[in-house]
Order: sequence, then structure tokens, then C-alpha cells
Amino acid sequence: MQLLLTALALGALYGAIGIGFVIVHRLTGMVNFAMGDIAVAGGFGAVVASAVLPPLGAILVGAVVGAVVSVVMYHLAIHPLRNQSLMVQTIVTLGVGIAIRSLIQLYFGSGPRQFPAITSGPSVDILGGRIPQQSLWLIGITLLGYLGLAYFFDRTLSGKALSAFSVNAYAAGIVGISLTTMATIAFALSGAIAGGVLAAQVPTSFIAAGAGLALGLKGFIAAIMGGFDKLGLTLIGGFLVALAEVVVARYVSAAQASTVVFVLLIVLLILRPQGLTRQVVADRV
Amino acid sequence: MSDTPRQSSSAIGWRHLVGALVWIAVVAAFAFSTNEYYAGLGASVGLLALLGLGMVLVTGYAGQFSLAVGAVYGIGAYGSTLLTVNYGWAGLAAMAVSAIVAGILGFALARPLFRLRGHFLAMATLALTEVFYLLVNNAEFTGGSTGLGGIRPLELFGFTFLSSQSHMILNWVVVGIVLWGMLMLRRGREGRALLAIRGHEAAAAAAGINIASSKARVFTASAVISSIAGSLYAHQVLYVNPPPFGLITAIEVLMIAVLGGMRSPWGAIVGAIVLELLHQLIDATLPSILGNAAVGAGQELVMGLLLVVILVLRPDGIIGAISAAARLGRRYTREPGLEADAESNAPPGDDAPSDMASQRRAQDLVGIPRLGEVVLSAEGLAKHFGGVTAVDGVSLNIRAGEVLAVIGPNGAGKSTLVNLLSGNLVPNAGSVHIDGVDTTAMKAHQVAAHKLSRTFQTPCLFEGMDVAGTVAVGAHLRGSVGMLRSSVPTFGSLKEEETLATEAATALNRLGLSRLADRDAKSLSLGQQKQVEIARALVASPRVLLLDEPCAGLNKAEKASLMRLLRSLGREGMAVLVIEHDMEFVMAAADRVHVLNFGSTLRVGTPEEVQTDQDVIDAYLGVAHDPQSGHAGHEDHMTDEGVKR
Repeated sequence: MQLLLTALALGALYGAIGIGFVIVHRLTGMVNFAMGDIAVAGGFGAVVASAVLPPLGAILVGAVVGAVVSVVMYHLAIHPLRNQSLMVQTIVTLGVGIAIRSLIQLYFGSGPRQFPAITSGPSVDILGGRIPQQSLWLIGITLLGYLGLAYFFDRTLSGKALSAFSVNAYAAGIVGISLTTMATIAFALSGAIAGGVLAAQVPTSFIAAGAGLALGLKGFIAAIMGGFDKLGLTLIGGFLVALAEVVVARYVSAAQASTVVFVLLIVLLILRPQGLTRQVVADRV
Repeated sequence: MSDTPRQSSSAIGWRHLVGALVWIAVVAAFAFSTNEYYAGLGASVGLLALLGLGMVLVTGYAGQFSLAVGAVYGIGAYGSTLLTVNYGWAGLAAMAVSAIVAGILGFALARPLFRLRGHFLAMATLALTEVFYLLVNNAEFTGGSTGLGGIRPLELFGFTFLSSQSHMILNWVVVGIVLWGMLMLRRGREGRALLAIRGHEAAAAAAGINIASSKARVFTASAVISSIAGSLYAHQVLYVNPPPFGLITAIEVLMIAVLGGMRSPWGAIVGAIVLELLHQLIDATLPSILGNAAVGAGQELVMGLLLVVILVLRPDGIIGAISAAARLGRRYTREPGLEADAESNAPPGDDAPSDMASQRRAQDLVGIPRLGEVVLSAEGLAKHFGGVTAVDGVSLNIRAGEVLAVIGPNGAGKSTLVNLLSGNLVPNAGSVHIDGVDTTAMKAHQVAAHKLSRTFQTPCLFEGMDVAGTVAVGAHLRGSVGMLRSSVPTFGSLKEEETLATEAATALNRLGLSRLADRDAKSLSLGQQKQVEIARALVASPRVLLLDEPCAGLNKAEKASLMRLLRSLGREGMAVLVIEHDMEFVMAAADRVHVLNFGSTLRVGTPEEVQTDQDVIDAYLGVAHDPQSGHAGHEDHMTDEGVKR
């Protein structure tokens, strides 16, 4: 039970980053290699804000910082390359990721940072396992973000317009949906959920400048599980990744937990690139 | 690039010998004129250039974005170290075995991974490099994070590579060999195949290129090159620890390729040198600005930003910028000659009657195609896309010497039918036989091997390839020289290359495209692009030729000459299937017409029968035929359809 609870909190984080991947991929076809680092930028934004704001406000700032960094990245690096191949666009996100990571490291150093929890107090007992109150907040914030996004995409006009855009950008452009506006929204949403949820996790553990790469990879696995399309399955995928990591760390070796998870990524890509969904991810002829 | 095949093999050999001597002379001159420190730098730049070449091979040539270089570089380094230190192997043997291990790993991973879309591959290879790093960092036998020492310098034929000068010369000689091999590869059949894959996978497959195999082989070659670089590293630094084989190295190599330019192996050389100069500059200036502690992160920051800036400003890198400037210069000197050339290329028989029907009659005087046996037969073909049935139980036969036109309103399933016949799509039901062989479930490149060629509705040409090269891609199955033989050109491979070039030139000539041979194929007009596609299909000397709307973008004279071409192909015994909306063309070119509507066969008959068939007319107009509006209106409608594309 303890493992499940730990995995639930960690999985919410991976799932949220995975959702960030999915939103950008659904709407632009890209994979944003800077996703993990954008989340870390949000986390550090929250750390800075926590000096003057209560934790909940700091987390909100984290989400905003994530969104802003993500949007700035789109306009400075990706928008100028919109006519280039997807490969070039993907490489550029890798460059942005490194730049963000090393900027944070230059400014904050590579040491861990933390800020207080939203509600202080002892951990909560659930069916024999213990979970910190902040982790419950983390899970709550993730679910809130998920529900909000799901509502946005399925129920609102703008959300449907975004979905239309992803099916056929050219046709969407003809009926007056602007590529730039839509991509900006996509990057803002993905940055906000990843940055905000990572910020919510900071009080339970800590955050370091170099965390982005591993976070990004794990979020990526979650996104694959969701077939790079389904938000709900991505959250479940995040939980499964976290569960695998926690179980390996507990029963095999804490040092090899990440290794096993990354091997899992390669195996997953080879054997089941469509993840938990039924559709096959393949290019149209 | 396009002028080489016509040179005699001995001239090529002579030029290459001189090139090799100049290369060695420059490297040696640099190595012996500098001190130990700069020679050491030169040696490490050589290794980076070698890794950059491996990256250009996979990412630039084949268009596959891979970050596996960190891991395979590490396999070479750790392999050489473990085998020589722990088991006392000779350096060269350890290097070879490590390279084989890296190659096998590359091959085993490439087959499944390359089925994936680009960025999934990037992420998988990124994970691979990260896994390798974590493994050697945590494992006991690799010395964990402290690493392994005690490696002896490399010995070759009694000479010990001890000094930095010798390292530098050794590395740059290896770089020179790989560079040369890659330049040769690019000129040959397999190199064209790789460029074709990067440009358009479906069209490459239709030309008979086995995409999965090509990618896997090139990935393997790149792994071997990177592994050799790793072995050289181990024998020169004499100590290995995990950091040089992590993601940062992979990104640095990517940086080299981006900086120099992905399209040419020279990009890796230029990129490696420029990047090292930049590193030196940063090392010299950064500590005074941000303090000594900031150097590591500062280097990374500059690298990340540089990657972004270069891609935004110049996605094809330094070499791309240089060759763009060179092209601009050439364009100015050549343009005037082109117009005169075009004049002389007016279609023959301009004085002949201009309407197609009478031209057809004139053609048939030359000789009426003799119908042979059935070459291609399709039985009950069906294809669903989700809930939409695009093709529903279509059967057809094409005989040798016959031109069969497939017509039908937009959305009737014509292009889907061609995709099913050519193996670009797999049918949900039904079968396809070519010369009695069941090709139903075959992939496009296998179907092509059964002598079926095709063109596409929207021209699928390959970026950055000239017309002659594009057409030569079509001759892929006419040759047999593999990657290794074309990168170390043997006499046989050069001879084959000459044959392929001649065949491509013949096909170009037949379509009147010879004067465009050295133009970039994608820069041509729509009509010319479609004709280049036909030449690419013809050069494979197919038994069955499938043409999807070949008339789009052609003017009347060009259509007439295409019609004459189809008639003469029929006389040569080829089975031709043509989808077309231009009714005048269809009526003149076809022996039989197959009408599709809503995915199934509406009518099959001679052009005359179909032309007067009430159901066919209704299908096109969507309303009952009004005799008052007459034949002309009917035809206009169809021509519009053709123009719309």
C-alpha cells in the first residue's frame, strides 16, 4: 500500500509532464524535448515566489512561469522554424532544453531547493500506508488540471478549434484558426500543467537544476502509454511508470531504478509504440 | 556531383590519390608544426569529427534523428579498455570486437526502432545513451563513476602511438578514410537511396528501396564508426570514466553536425573545428565574466543557445551556406543558355494535326500494340479507412501492350486502387497478382521488384536532389552494389554506376527532360515534376506502369506527347494503367477504360463505349444527362477537375 501511495504521488507528476507532451504533440505534431526543463523552470519560479507568497500562491506562480517559458520558447525558437522539417523543430527543442537547464544552474547553482507545504501537519494514514498531506495536494492539483484540460478540449469552442487544428492545420487556417495563436495556447497549457504540478511536488522532496532530463524522459513514457493522444491514459501511464520505479527501488536497487525505467522506455517503444491505446502510431501514406 | 559518372575510372583514381596525399600532408604539417598541447587538441577534434561523421550518416543522409552516439562511443571506449586491460588483448583486436558489438547492437535496435516516427526514435536513442551512462556509472566491473585506467597506447605494426602528434595524425587519417567513403557513398546507388528515404519514404519504397534495411545498415555503419572513435579515445586518454559518454556528448556531436551542416560529410569536419574554437573562446572569456565555477554550465548554455540560433538562422549549417552561395554564382553564369535550349526542345511533329484523336490515329499507323498475356490481375480488392469504404470489390486485368485508363469522379477510389496495386496500402480483402505471383501482402519495395513502377498524384520528389539523381533512384533495382562496395568504390561498382547513369539519361531523354538534368527536381514546375516522376518509373524498365493523373500541370502539346509516349510504351509490351481526368487524353491514350464510382466498378469498355454510356455520364455530372447542354459542357467539367489539382 505504501508503494502504491508513493507511486500515486510520483505518477501524478510524471502524468502531468506527459500531458504536457501530449498537448503539444496533439496540436503541433512535435515532441518537445525541453518539457522536463520547462517544468523545472516552473518549480524554481515557485521557489522564488515562495519567499513572498504562501505555498499555494507560489505553486500558481510556478504554473505561470512554466507557461511563460514555454510560450517564449515557442516564439523565439520554434515559430521561426515553422517551415522546416519536424526533425529540425525537434532538435531545436533539445537545444532550448539545455539552455534552460544550464541557465537555471548558473543562477541557482546545482544544489536542491525547497519551500513549505500548503498545509503543514503529519502524514495521513490511508489503508495502512502513509502519504504526506502535500502529496494529496499534488494529486488533487493534477486531477484538477486534467479535468480542466479535458473539459476545455471536449466541451468548449476554443478547445474544439484546437482539435480541428491538429487534424489539419491547413484547413483550420482556411476557416480562420490562426496557427500561431493555437500553438501559443498549446505551449502555454503544456507549460502551465507541467510547471504547476512540479511546483506542487517541491515541498515533499526538493528540486534541483538537473532534474529536467529524467523528468522529461519519464513524462515521455507516460505520454507514449497514452498513445500521445489520450490525456486520461497518460495519467495512468504516469502512475505505471512511477510504480515500476518505486518497486524496483524498493526490491532491487535504488541506484538502478532509473536505468530500469529507461530500459522500459526502449522496450515499450519497440514492442508497443501505441501504449495503452489501440490505435497504431504511424505516418499516413 | 552529377558530372562524375561520366568520367573514366582511372581519372577518378588519380584525383582521389592526389586528394589523399594533400589530406595527409596538411594533417602532418599541422601536427609537426605545433606543440604537444595543440596536437592533443587536434587529436580530440579529430575524434569529434569522426563522431560527427557518424551523425551525418544517420541524421543527414538518412534523415533519422538519433542520439545513440553517446552509447556506441562508450561501447568502443569501454570495450577496448576491458578487453586490453583485463584480458590482455591486442589493441586492434579489441577495437574490432568492440566495433562489431556496437554494430550488432545498432542493427538489432535499428530494425524495430526505425519503424517509429522520427522523434520517437530520438527519444529512444536518448534513453539508450542515458541507460548506458547509468549502467557504466553504477556497475562494478566498469569502475563505477571513478572509471578505469591502466590502458596501454595503441600499437600498430610495431609503432606505438604515444605522442599527441601521432594521435592527431592517426585520428585524422581515420577521419579522412570515413569522409572519403561517405563522399563516395553519396554518389552511388545506396547513397541516392538514403537521400530518397529522407526525401519521401513512400516514393523511395515505390522505387524498390527497402527502407527498413537501408536505415538499419546505415545506423549500423554509424555505430561502428562511433565505436572506433571510442576505442581511439581510450588508447589516447588512457583512462575512461562515464561522463564523456553521456547525453552531453551526444548533443555536442549533434551540435557539430548542425553547425557544419547535415547534408554533407564536410559539415562534420567544419563543425568539429569551429565548435572547438568556440569552446576555446568560451574557456578564455567566461571565467572572467561569471567566475570559474560557471564554466561547465556556461559551456552548456552557450551550446544550447547556439544550437537554437544556428537552426533559426541557417538550418543547413556552414556548409549549406557555402554551397548556397556557390549555387547562386553558378546560376548567374548559366541561366542565359537555358532559353535557347528550350526552344530546340519543342515536341516533334508540331506541324501534325494538333487534336489528340487524330494524333492517336497517326500513332496507330506506326503500329497497333499487340495484346499479350495478363501481367497484372486484381481480384475483389477492398479497402476501408475507418468507416469509409474507399475501394469496394474492384477486379481488373491489364495485359501486356495495353493502356488501361481508370476514370471516375473525385473520391471514386482511383488513387486508393493504385496504392493497393503498388503495395503502398494493404487491402482488407481481395488479391493482386503480377505475372502469376501473389503480391497482395507484399510491401511496396517488394512489389517494385516484381517489375511494377508507379507515379504519384502529387509529385513525390526528393529534397536536395537534382533531376538526374532523382531519376537514377528509379534504377535502384537495376543495380546491386551495396553500401560497403559503393563507399570503397571497386571497379565493378563504378561500372554499374555508369550503366545506371546512362539508363537514367535515356529515360530523361525520352521525356524530353535532358536539359533539366542538373536542376533541383523540387524547383521545377508541377508538369515537369510529374514528368520527372514518369522518367523515374520508366528507368526501372517495368512490366507494369501505374500513372496517377500524369496530365496535371501539362499544357496541350505536352499532353499530346505524353499520349504518344504511352502508345509507344504499349507497343513495347508494357502494361500501362493511367488515372486521368482529362477526357480528351483518356479517349486518345487508352485501349480500354475502367470507370469507378463510389469505390466499385461502374463500367469497363472501349473509350467509345464508355463515352456514350448514360450511367458514366450521370456519375460524372451527378444529375440526369441533359441532351441540350451537350457534350462540350460535360467535357469542360472534367477538364476543370484536372486543373483543380
